[in-house]
Formats: sequence, structure tokens, C-alpha cells
Amino acid sequence: MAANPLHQFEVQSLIPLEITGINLAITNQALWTMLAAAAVALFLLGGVGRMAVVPGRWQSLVELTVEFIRDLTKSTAGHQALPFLPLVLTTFLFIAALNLIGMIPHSFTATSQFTTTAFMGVMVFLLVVMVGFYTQGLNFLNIFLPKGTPCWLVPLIVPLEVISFLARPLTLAVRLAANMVAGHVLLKIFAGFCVMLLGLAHAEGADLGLHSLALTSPAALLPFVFLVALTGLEVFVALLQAYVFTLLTLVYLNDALHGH
Amino acid sequence: MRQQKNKPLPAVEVSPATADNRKATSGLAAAGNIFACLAVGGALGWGADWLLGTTPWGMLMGIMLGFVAWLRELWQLLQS
Repeated sequence: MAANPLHQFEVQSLIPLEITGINLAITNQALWTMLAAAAVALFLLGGVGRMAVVPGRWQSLVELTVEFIRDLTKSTAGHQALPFLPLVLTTFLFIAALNLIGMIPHSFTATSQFTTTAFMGVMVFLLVVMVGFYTQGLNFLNIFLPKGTPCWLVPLIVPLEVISFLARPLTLAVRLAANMVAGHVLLKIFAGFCVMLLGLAHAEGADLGLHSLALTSPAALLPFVFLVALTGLEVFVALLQAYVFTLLTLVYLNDALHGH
Repeated sequence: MRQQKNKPLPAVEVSPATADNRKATSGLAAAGNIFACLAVGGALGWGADWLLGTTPWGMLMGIMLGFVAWLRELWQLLQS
């Protein structure tokens, strides 16, 4: 039995492709990322395809999502952040889609790969730096020096703030990837318990008759109940992590637009 | 945005609900933070070592500063 709980995170090349010595193979990671992007596009296009004054279920869902993110943007980073709504909405929907698609058995969770999350984190970071310098000019550097810092503390506070600032993309990426990996490993381990206990009951049953089968197989029920509960929790975590990533993007954008 | 160039835009009015929301998220954020702070501090120190040839003191200092930066973030979170 392939019981290795980390096996599910292995990146495998599906279509080998090499252009001028650079490995550009389509991996399972790339495939499921594309599927998630397609799912987001389908979700949005399906919702607004046949716009009605009285929205149907699908259109309502799309409208609710967009309004939710728009209100979040406005309340966190102000109405000046509304030009970035498409980016924020995409971030939320794309991460949510990647996480939720990862919950389908036999799929691949692209957000469990540090490369996927790091790319998104770095993009958000670069955007914040550019927006910061664009709106505030060199005043943007003031975020490294909080107001009311005593003179003698300046040489200490500035490096600390620089480290905190540079740690942002890494934090974003590590949190998302770690949450997805941890959740999926846990699911796999509990599923493994379930199967192993049933197998044990089966082997014992063969030796000692049906008597002990009835005795030991109910033991497999306990990890199964946990498994069902954990699956529910994981769906929640999938959406929560998408929300956290989005909200932190907005908090950083708020720093860039309005100062610290 | 044009007229107010080079000046931070006025701060957003934050409703109590949003403030709570943001606090809760920062709490979630702080958990993964220590790794990132240590890594960034260490990397900056390592870069300084590479430039100045002070191996390994820059990296050690960097890691320590990273740790202090994490503590400071935690402190700010607890105070808000």
C-alpha cells in the first residue's frame, strides 16, 4: 500500500518538454494550476453569461463573491484601492480554486508547492513596492521608521523594520503552503489508520473466525469519523487561507497607499 | 492619485468590525512569521558577509535581528 503521506506532493512530469536546454515539462502541478484557472474563468463567465435583472443562483453567487471582496477592499485599504479590485478578486478566487480543487481525491494541490505560493507572494510584494513608490515617492521609505521613534533607537528599529518588510512575501508563501501540506498529510494519515485497522480486522478474522472481525472492525470507525470531520475542516481551511492571503494583500496595499 | 503625489493618501477610517477582523488575521499571520523573519535576517547577514568578508558574524547578527524583528511584530500584535 502506498501509505507514504508525502507521496501526494510529488511533482511529476506529465508531458516532457525541453526548449533550449530549459526543462519546461507540463507537470501535474502545472496541469492542476491550469484547471483551477479554467474553473475560475468558468465560474465567473457562467455567472455573468446571461445577466438578468433578477439574478439566478449562479449569477447571485458571483455577485455575492464580487461584492464581498469589493467591500473587503474598501474597508481595509480605502476606496483608493478599488482600482486593484480585479487583482484582489483574482487572488482570492484563484487561491480558493487551487485549494478546493486539491480537496478532490486523486487531484493535486498546487498550493502545497512552495513554488506556486512563493510566486504569488513575490508578485504581491513587488506590486506593493511599486504602488508605494508611485503614490508616495521616497516618502514610502517612511514605513521603515515608525512615527515617534526616539533618536537613539533609529539604528536598531530600521533594520528590524526592513527585515519585517522583506519577510512579508515569504510569510505569505510559507503560511499558505504549510497549511495545505499539513492538512493533506493529516487527512492521508487518518485514512491510512482507517484502512490499516480494517486490514487488521480482516487478517484476524481469517485466523480466528468472524467473531473477532465483528470485534475489531468497529475500531476503524473512530479514525473514519475523524476523517470526515477533518475533511470538513479542510474545506473551511481552504477558503480561510484564501481569505487570509487576500486580506494581508490588502493590508500591505493599505501601507503602500496610505503610509504605515 | 495625481494631485497627492509623493504624499501618503489620508488614512482609511477603520470600523471596529474591520479592526477586529484585521487583528484576527494578523494573529493567524504571526504563526508562520518566525521562519520568514529568521530566514530574511540570515540571508541579509549572509549577503553582508559575502560583501565584507566577515563570515560568520554577519549571518549570526542577521539571525538574531530576525528573531528580534519577529518578537517586535508579536509585541505590536499583542498591544493592538
